[in-house]
Amino acid sequence: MKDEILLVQKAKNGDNKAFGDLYDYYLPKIYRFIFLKIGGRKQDAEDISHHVFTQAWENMSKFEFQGFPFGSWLYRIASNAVIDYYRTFKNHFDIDETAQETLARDSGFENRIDTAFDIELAKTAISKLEHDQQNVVIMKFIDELSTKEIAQALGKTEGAIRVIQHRALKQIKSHIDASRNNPTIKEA
Amino acid sequence: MHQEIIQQLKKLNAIEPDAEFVRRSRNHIVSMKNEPAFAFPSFSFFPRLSLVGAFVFAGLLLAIFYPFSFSSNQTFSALSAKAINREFDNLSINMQLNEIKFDQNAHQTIAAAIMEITDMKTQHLSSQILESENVGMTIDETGNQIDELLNQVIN
Repeated sequence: MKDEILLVQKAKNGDNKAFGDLYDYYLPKIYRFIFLKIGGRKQDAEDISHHVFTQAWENMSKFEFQGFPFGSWLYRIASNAVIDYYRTFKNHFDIDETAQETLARDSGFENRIDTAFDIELAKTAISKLEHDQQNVVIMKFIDELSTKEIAQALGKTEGAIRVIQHRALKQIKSHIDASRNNPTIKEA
Repeated sequence: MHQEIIQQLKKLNAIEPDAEFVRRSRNHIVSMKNEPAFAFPSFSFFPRLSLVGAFVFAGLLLAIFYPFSFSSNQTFSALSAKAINREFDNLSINMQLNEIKFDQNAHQTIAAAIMEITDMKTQHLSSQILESENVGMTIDETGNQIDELLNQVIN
């Protein structure tokens, strides 16, 4: 992001307009990350996203630049917020069901995507991954962060991120292959 | 195959938050007042601040403990070699004085004992007292019998 360091510095000094600019740039990425992490529950994704940016704004004075984008810090807050979300709603949540409900509700989303079936398949495959694998896949291939940024956001080494990424893609492939060979597996 | 999956995943990039939600959320957050917790002019000020803080702290310690520094001379003098030597010298003199005092006491005690033995006026050696004690003594019959038996054994 252009002028990110300057904007962050201004926001640290209480400049809400500067924080508004950071919000505009990062909200779609953070929202997408949360949306996919919680299986596409739109309302909850909005609530968590709002909470993440409120937390960030309230704690701006604690943020220190360490050679990584401001977004790494936001992803870390978002990741923790999702963990808290699962702790709270663990027993009242069906990931596949809610993903389909969301697609049905958000008709515009399907219209924008030509291959809706494949998208749905990819979403389901992501939901089957482990927590760290989901983080890496979303950050790397959907939000297009660098391996270095992901490592910073998740508090892991770049080598560990590559290993997680490799295993995640392998697992997604096996899930997609199985779904194509047996379409009923998607609903399972 | 991985490339195909990655292409599919990239399509999820089309997921976007609802515009109305973005407007409401943004307005709410931006309207929140956020004062810096502790405003410093710049980051470069921190090292200077800690340096000044260190000097102030050192000065404070000096101010507190300086008055006690005089009394502490006494404590530290116990660690000087000269003071220890002087203390040892005094120690030997004191020991000699104690020995002399002991000798004097011993001599006086011995002299008093000799005087008591040689003094005939001393009560416990008086012949009159010994005789009066002898008169008071009663010799029973058993004693006479023992004497007789002893005499038989000797003879």
